[in-house]
Amino acid sequence: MTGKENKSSSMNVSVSQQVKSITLQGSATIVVQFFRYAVNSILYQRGVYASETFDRCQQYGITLFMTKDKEINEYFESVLPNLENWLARGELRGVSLVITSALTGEHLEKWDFDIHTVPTEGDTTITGRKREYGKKELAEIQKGIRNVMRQITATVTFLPLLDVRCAFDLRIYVNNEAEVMRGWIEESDSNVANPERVELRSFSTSVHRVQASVTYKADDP
Amino acid sequence: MSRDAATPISKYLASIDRRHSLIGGSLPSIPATPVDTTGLGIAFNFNDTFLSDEQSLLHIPSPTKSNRSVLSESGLPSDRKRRKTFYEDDSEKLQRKSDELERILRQTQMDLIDSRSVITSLEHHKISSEATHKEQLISLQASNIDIRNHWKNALEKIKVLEEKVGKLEKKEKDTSDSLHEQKNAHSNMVCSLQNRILKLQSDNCELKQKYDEDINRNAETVRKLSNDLDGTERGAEKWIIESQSLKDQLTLVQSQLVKCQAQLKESQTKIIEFDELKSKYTEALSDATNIKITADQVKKWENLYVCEQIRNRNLTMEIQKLKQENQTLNSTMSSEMLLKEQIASLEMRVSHMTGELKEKVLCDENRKALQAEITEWKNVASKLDHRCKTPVNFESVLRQYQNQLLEFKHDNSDLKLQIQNRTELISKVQAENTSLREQVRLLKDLSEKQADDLKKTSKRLVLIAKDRDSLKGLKESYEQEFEGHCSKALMERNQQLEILIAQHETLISEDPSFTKRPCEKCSDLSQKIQELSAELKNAKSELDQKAASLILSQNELSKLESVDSDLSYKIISFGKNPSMMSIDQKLKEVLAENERLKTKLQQLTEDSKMDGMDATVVEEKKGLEEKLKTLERKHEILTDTYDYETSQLQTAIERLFGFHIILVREPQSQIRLQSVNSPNPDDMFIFQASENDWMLLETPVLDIFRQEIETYLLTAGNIPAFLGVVTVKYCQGIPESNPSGRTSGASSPQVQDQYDDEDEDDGDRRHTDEEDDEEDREEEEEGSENERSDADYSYDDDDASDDDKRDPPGKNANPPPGSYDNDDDDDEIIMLD
Repeated sequence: MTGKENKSSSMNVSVSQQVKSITLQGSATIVVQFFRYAVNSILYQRGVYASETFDRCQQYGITLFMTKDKEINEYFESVLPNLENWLARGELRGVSLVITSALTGEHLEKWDFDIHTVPTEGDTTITGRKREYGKKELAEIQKGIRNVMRQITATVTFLPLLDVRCAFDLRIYVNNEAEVMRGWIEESDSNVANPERVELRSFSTSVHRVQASVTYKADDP
Repeated sequence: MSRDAATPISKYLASIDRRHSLIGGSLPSIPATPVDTTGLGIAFNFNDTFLSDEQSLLHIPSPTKSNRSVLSESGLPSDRKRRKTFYEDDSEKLQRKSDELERILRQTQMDLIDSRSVITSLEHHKISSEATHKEQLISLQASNIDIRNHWKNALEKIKVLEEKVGKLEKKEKDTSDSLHEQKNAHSNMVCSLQNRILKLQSDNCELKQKYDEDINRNAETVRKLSNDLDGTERGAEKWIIESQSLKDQLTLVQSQLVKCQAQLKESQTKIIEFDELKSKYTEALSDATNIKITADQVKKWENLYVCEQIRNRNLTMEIQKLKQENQTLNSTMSSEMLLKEQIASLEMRVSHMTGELKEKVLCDENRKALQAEITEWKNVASKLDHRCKTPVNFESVLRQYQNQLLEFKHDNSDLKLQIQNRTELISKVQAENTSLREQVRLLKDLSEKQADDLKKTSKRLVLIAKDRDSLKGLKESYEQEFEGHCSKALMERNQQLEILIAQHETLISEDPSFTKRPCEKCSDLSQKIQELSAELKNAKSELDQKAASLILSQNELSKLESVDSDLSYKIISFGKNPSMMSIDQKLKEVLAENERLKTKLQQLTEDSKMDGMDATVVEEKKGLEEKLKTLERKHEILTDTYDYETSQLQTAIERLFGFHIILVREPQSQIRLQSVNSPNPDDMFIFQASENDWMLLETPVLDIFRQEIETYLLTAGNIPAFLGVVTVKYCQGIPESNPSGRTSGASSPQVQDQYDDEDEDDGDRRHTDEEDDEEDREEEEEGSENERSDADYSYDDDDASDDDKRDPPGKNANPPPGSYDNDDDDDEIIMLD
C-alpha cells in the first residue's frame, strides 16, 4: 500500500459518505409530500376551487399554491398518512385524482400517478450484479418533482376549460392484501367519457417511481 | 301554314292556266273577234272548282262596280243559270251577255295579271325564304363548328384529367409500394425482434442457470461459512474459557503476591524489632544479672531469627517465583490481547454471518412467498389451461401469453400506425376525390350546357326540317305549277340544298356520344373515381377488419388486465371526500329548496282557494265581519252600561235598603249582602239560589241573629223583614250575641218543610210585588237604556221573589277578596223560599 493509494481510498470514503442513502420510509414521505403539493397545484390550476382559497408557498425551488380550506386540509390530513403507510409497506400501486362535476357527478378529468415500488432485496441486474438502491441525491429527486410540477402547470394550455362547479376525489390503488382502515370505501375504476390521455413526466426516488398522466374528456367534434 | 296558304293559290293559278288553255293560246293573245257565246257555256266548265262557293272568298277586282257587286252578290252559278235561261229564253239578250262575258274575260285577264304579280311576289318570297334558309344553314354550320370546338376543348380537358389520373395512379402505386416495403420492413423488424426476443430468452435462461448456480455456490459458501462460524464460535468459547481460567489464576497469583508482600512487611517489622531487641540485648549484656535470661531470650530470638530468615529466603524464593509467574502472565496477557483481537474479528465475522443468515432467512421467506405465488400462479395456470401442470409448461404458457401480449401490443402499434397512415391517405384521397368531384361537377355542368345547346340546335333543326318540308311542299307545288318551266339551275340548287339538308340531318340524327369522340378525360376521371372508390371501399373494409381485430385484441388485453387486476389490486377512496361532501351539501340545498317550494305551493293553493271562492261568499263574509264588529261594539257598550247601571243600582240599594249587594255568578249564583250599618265590614249574609229557593249560608254573623232567623225566616219565611230587623238592630247598636242560638246545620229538614208549606201563599204575594217593582224599574230605565233589552239577562224572572233578592246578574261582578265561598263543605245552609 503506497501513500497515493491510501489518499484515493480516503477520498472515496469521503465521497461515499456525502451521498446519504434514502430509506423506504423516507422515500414514502417524499412521495406523499409530492402528492400533497401536486393535488393542491392541480386543484388551483384547474380552477376546481376559487383562487382566493389558496396560499403561495415555495417548494422544490418553485412557487406552489396550497389550499387554505379547512375541510380540504382535514381531508388531506386523514388520507395522506394512510398513503404514507401503504407506500412504506410497498402496497400502494397508484393514486388517481378524479375531478367530477358537482352538479351531475360526471367524471371530467383523471390525474393518474402510477407508483412502482422498486424491490430493495434480491434484485439483480442483467449481468447478475446486485442493484444498489437509495443512492439518489435529494436535489436530483427534487429536480424531477419540479419538472413534473412545471408540466402540471403547463397542462392548462391544452386541457379543456372546466366551466362547471367541480369537486374532486382521490382514488387509491392498493394491493389486495393491504390493510384498509375504517372510513375507506372500495370503489370501481372511474372512467372518463370520450377520453384522451396525455402522459406526463415521471420521477424516481430510487425506491419509488412515480409516473404521472392525465386523462380528460375531449370536446365533441 | 305555308302549304295551307299556298294550295288554294296554286289551285287558283292552275285553274286560270286551264282556262287560258281552254281559251286557247297564251295569256297575252286576247282574241279581237267577239267570242261565240253560245259555245262558251259548254266550253266553260262551270262546274269547275274555280266557280265553286269556296271561291267567293277570293277577292277579284272588277272593272265596274255593278258587275262586281252582281258577281259578289249572286256569284257565278246564279249567273250561269241566268245565262242559261237567257240563252234559252231570249237569243237577243245573248249579245249583251256576250259583251258582258267579254268584259268578264277582260276582267279575268286583269285578274290574271294580278295573279301573275302575286306569283312574282310569291317567287320573291320564295327567294327570301331560301335566303333565310341559307342563313339558317350557315348559322347551324357555325353552331356546329362551335360545338365541335367545345368538344375539342372537352377532349383536351379529359386528356389533362387522364394525365392527372395517371399521376395519381402512379402516386398510389408508389404509396402502395412504399407501404409494401414498410410492411416488409416491419415484418423483417418483427422477425428480427422475435429473434432478439428468442435470443434474450435464451440469454435469460442462461442467466437464470448462472443465477441458480450462483445461488447454489452462495448456499455452499454460506454452509461453509456457517460451519467455520460454528468452529470459530467453539474455538472462541474455548479461548474465552481459557482466558477466564488464566484470569482467575492471575487474580489468585496477584492475591498471593499481595499476601507475600504483606508478610514481607511483617518480617521487616519483625527484623526491625529484632534489631531493637539485639540492641537491647547488647545493653542487657552489660547487665550481668539478666545474662542467662537474656541468653535464653537471645537463643529464642536467634531461633526466631533463623526461622525468620529461612522464611525470608522462602519468601524471596516465592517472590522470585511469583515474579517469574508474573512475567509469564504478562506474556500471556499479550497473547490474550491477540486473542481478544481475534475474538473481535471473529465477532465481526459472526455478525456478518448472522447478517447473511438473516438474509438467508429473508431469502427463505421470499422463496416461500414466491412458492406461494407460484402455487397461486399454478392455480391460475390450471384455471387458464389444464395442460399447465408443470412450471415449465406454465412458464411456456406465460411466455406464450407474454409473447401474445407483446405481439398484440406490437400489432396494436402497427395497426395504429397503419390506421394513421390510412387515415392520412384517406384524407388525401378524400381531398382529391372532392377536387375531382368538383371537376366532374364542372364538366357535368359543361356537358349539361352542351346538351342544352344540342337540344336547342336539335329543336332548331326540327323547326328547320319542318320549314324545309314546308318549303319542299311549296317547291313541289311550284314544280307542279310550273311543270318543266323550272330551270335546271334551280333544280341543281334544290338538289344541292337537299344534299346539304340530308347531310345536316345525318349530322343531327347521329348520336353525339357515338359521332363525337368520347370524352377521354371524363372517362378517365370516372374510371379513376371508380378505382378510388373501390380502393376506398377496400381500405374501409380493411380498416373495419383491423378495427375488429384491434377490438378483439383489446378485449383479450382487457381480459388479461382484468385477470391481473382481479389478482393484484383494489381501488379505495376515503368516505368523507370533497365530492361526497359537495353532494351532501347539494342534497341539503335541494331539500331546503324542496321545503321552500312546498310552503310556497301551500300558500299558492290557499291563495287559489281564496280566489276560487265566490264573490257572494266574500261579500257575506265581509257583511258578517261587519256585523260581528258592530255586535262587538254593541256588546262593549252594553257591558259598559250594564256595569254603570249595576253600580248605580248598588249605590241605590245601599242608600235605600242599607245593604251593599254583591252578585256572584260562578260557580253558583249568590247574593252577598253587607250591611252598611254593621260595625264589622266582614259581616255578610250570603243567599244562594237553588231551585225556586234562596238559601242563607252559614256565616259568623248569623250567630248574632239566631232568634231573628228563627222568627222571620224559619217561621215567617220573610227575608225582607229579617233584613229590616238586621238593619234596625245594627242601627240600634251592636246586637246581643246569642251563642246558644248558634245552630250547626241550620238547613234542617224541618225548616225546609216549613218553608215548603208557606211557599204557595208567599209566592203569590211576592210575585205581585215583583211585578210592581219591575214596572217602576222599567219606568226609570226607559229612554236611557234601549239596548239593555238585547242583553242576556232580564229582570222579569219568574223565580225572582224580591228586589232585594233578585238583582240582575253582573258579569263583571266579582267577589271581594275576603268573600266567602260556598265551596266550603262546613258551611251551613238555611233554605229559604
